[in-house]
Amino acid sequence: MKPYRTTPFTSGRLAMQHDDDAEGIESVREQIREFVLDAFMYGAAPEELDDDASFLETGIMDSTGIMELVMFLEEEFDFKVQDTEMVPENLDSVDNLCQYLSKKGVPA
Amino acid sequence: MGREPGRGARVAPQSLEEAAGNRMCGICGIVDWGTEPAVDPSVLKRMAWTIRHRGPDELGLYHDERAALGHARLSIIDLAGGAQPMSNEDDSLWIVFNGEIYNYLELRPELERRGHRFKTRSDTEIILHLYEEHGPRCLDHMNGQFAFCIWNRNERSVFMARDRVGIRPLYYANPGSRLLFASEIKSLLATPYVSAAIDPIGLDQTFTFWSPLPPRTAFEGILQLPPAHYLVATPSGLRVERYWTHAFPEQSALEVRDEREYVDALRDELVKATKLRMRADVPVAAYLSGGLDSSLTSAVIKEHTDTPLNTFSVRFNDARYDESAHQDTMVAALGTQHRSITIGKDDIARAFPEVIWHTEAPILRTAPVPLHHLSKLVRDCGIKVVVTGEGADEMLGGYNIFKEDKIRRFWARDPESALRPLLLARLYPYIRRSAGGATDTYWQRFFAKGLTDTQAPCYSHLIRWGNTAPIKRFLTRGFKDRIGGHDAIAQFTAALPEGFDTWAPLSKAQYIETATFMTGYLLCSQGDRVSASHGVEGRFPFLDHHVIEFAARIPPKYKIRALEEKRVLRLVAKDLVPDAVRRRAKQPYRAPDSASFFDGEGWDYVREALSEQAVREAGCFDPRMVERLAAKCVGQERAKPSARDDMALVGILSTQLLYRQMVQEFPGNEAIPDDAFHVRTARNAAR
Repeated sequence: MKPYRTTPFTSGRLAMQHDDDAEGIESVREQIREFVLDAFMYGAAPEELDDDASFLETGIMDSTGIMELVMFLEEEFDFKVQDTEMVPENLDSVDNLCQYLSKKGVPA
Repeated sequence: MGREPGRGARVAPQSLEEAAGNRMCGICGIVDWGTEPAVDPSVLKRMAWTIRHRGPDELGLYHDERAALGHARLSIIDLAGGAQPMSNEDDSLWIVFNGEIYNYLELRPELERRGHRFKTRSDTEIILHLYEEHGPRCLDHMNGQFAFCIWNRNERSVFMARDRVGIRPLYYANPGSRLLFASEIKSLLATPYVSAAIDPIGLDQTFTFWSPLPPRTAFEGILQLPPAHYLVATPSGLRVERYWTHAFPEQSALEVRDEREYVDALRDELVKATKLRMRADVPVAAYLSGGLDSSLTSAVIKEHTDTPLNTFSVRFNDARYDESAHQDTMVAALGTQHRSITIGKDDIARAFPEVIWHTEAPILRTAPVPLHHLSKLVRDCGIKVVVTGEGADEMLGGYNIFKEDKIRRFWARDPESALRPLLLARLYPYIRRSAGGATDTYWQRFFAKGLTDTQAPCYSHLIRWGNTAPIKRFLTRGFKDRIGGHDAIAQFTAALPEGFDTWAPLSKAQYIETATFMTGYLLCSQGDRVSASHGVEGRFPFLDHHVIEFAARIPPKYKIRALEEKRVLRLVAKDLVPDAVRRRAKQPYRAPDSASFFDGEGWDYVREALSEQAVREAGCFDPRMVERLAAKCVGQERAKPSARDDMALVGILSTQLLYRQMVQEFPGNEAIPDDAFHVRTARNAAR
């Protein structure tokens, strides 16, 4: 996993850059995990979230939860999710999300 | 709280004595640059007498030939030496001041080094010397909540100022050669120079933004000094200037550091602001609503003081409004000495007229009423000062309207998306219930109005304002004609600060929310008025201008991450507030609205105020439409009152009461005791 950190906005867009040495670095996977744990699992311990667990089947998120996750992804990684991409294969687990983001050009 | 026999709450005070029978500081004054012999001190006495509920501890009066200043004092700092009106070393400057300068201790040494001699250790005297030293720029040095007036006898000029966000009120009128000013409108109305008439444009603005836009008020010819402004009046005229702006960084130049840096710095600012607000020579207590903001301020106080903390809260006997469980959690966690009042519909209806006497403006919700009851409880416990969490939602992104703006912009990125609007269901549960049903089209259309016009300066608030404006349909033809082509939103937009267009969407929404709803309604009708009604002073750490300026620099994504509101504040609260309170979703503070007035047999004064005759006399609303609205709220119509009906009913009823109290039956000329005033004069009074 390559660590990333957020850097200052340039022209209103959030850029991502490699920085192996920076303090507080977070991989994309870790950013997603942290968001899901915090926003949907009430701050549960990291081991309670399996990267291959379905958000919908485990009840972690409902359909509007998925939309909030999409909002987070667009805000954090500055790209756009099409309606046709809002399918379980892309969004329904940490693993699926990382694969999807990788396809969208955000390396996980 | 019991039901009053006959359910006939008094609508207008019988006398000023009764109106002020409750017991914060109030200021007032008259300056006359005309050719008449002298200012009449008896008029000034009446002005001060009218607002003495704000300051029950002492009434002070100063007058010379051209000016008279009055002060009703609630003694908080320098109990013995802070009497007002107060003069400088040579009696050339006289001040009346309402509020607190929290950093007065830090300001004093520098002034002393520059040769200023102090007679007291009060914050009032600091202002005088700061003004001598810096002129209008004195305001840049002050951290506080204030409204004051300085009379310069030698130059025959006036300098008046109001704090940055409008915590303390200041009204004025300029009839003929006179300048009249006061903490409350009723004080101006107690003079023979000003009379009350409901201002159609003030009403139009109220039915858009929930309050008139400064400098306008609900009354014609009576103005308020806008927050962050000062006024200079001289024999040759009057000018009003802005000295501070609630500004945000350009979105393109926004610095984004690690989230933890913001958390740590915000915690430091908040602790500093809270400790400053603990400065008082009297006990300081706290309001504890059960939400994050007041829980955090209470926890900070608790951590930084040794004395037992008194906390107070409102509870409701209707579970839909009640937050008792969360209040109890905080009381247990902090070990405070807690007292609460439980409010029912009757408590709201009974006190509503008295509250309108204090708000001096129409209100669209009854939520100020329980806080009026609460300040009485505080006062009855012998406490004059309460710290609250006011301002956190505006400065750190706590309101649904910010999230609504964010979701609509998210949707606007792909307006044809069938899925993006579903996110609105996270804010409004009724959408979830109807999702997939025939009503989808309806609510989507409601929120889709102007959806893609994201460059509109007030994009965030247009839906809300559009939802309030239908109340204007109740206005009479005559009132509508007088409003004419006035466009409230265009006027507000034209006055937006320089650089506004370059701010992030959340920053824009925060500015608008602060400048309209917070300043005009929350800090006034739901703030100052219902605490000063019982001589209680509110203090707001989140509205310390250092906190405001720091909060403006926090990147929007740390304020609201996805839809998690006030994220950075929740992180500040991590070790101070139990998770059950820290992580809970915000519950808006609300109280029962129109239902309060029509429970059981209903209230006589409500029937009377909404009667065809009373509505016709006031001339603001169409009597037949009001009759239909009232019937709907009583339950005579098939349709139940909607949220919009609730707002209309409360707005119309409060306007009707305001008309009766201020225009029709303003209390008359009762005797004022001769010994009521402590009179001060200049030692070398110019004649």
